[in-house]
Amino acid sequence: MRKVFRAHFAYLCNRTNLWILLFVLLLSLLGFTEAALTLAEELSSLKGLYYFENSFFLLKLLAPFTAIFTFAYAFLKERDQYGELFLVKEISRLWYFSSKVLALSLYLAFFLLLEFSLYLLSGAVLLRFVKPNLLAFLRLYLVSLYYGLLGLAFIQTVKNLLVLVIPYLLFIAGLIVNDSEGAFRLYYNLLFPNFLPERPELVAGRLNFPMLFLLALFNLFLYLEKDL
Amino acid sequence: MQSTPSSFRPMRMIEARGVSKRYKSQVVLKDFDFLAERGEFVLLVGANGSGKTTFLKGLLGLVRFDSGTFLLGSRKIAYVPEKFAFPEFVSLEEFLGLFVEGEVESLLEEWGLKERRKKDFRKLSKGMRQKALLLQALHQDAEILVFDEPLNGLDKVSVRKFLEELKRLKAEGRTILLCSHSPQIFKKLADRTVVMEAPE
Repeated sequence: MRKVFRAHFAYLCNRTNLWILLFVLLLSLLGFTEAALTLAEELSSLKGLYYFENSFFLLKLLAPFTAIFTFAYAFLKERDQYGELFLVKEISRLWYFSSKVLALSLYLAFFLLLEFSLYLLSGAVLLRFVKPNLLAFLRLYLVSLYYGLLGLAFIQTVKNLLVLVIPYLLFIAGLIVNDSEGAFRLYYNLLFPNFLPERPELVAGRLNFPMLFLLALFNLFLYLEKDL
Repeated sequence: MQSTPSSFRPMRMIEARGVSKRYKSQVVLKDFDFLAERGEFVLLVGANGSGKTTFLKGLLGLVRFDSGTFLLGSRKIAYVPEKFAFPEFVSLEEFLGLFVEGEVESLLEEWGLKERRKKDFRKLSKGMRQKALLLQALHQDAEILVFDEPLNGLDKVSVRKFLEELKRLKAEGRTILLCSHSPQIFKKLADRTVVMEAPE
């Protein structure tokens, strides 16, 4: 079983993923620097808050994008071919799929850990202090994981990378929907989780956990049924 | 549909009855029957679109047949697919370690790959990659070996080496199912040739 995990990580470390990771990290670093340096000196008491809000807003845009692409790309037919060599033996589709989604979740956690470290490091160097706000990053991980699985559901159904625009647009639309209040906002956030505009908390809160589980199950069902 | 036919005997390693497959409106396999005994080497030939790859993938559970039944006498299966994407930053040695139990150095030496064993796949030629793919299948202690166009990119020396390996496996009583567009190369070694035709 260890060999299957090793294979997942060997395939996750491909040139496309590494370029995207590098690009997103560089973009984040630029954003963090901009957030730290823009505010005028006389408003230094607000700098910490401004730095977090601007940095987090940028990460809210980048993390789901990275998750959607990484999850979907890993399950593209040609990128998933190595699975055939395992699946013809005693390894079941259930085990193979679950282990691959777990490997992708760990990869995503590693990516957000890098972002979190970069956020802390930039803040420490440029502002001399920074509020960690770890909980906000954990929520961002949950949201990114959800959109990663949503991207996976789309790619398993349509089998074309262009379709990934849809889950990302649904995420962006959530940012607009959440500016207004009402029942629609809650329903929308149940299906497409997003943050409150005024603070880094999820609109649907813990209700997103069962939805995440259901989405994972739906993806599993698609994988068990499809032709490889 | 997959089930266990009541008349199945252990000597039968691969048995398919009336298997069919359709992709949208295109029928690629229709009521196809197939049987391979233990230790038999069956060569599968046919024009493009005759359903060879679909049939192999169906047997291996990678594609679902729409109807019919099939059974495999063992789950110890090794497979060489027609197309394969290799990991980029993994060495030949590491790749084989994922599928082959035990020491791989001697295998690499036998196939003239020892000096390249630490090289990443992105730095290897098509032929070398194909050798790696063959090696992972040939040395897995599998009872059933399935090859889909195994000669892709191989030079004459490697083809000869591959034929020797097939001969060894056959002598050991392994069941081999191979489809190729160069059937004449395997004619002497194969026990039987099954010709597949595209369904009308």
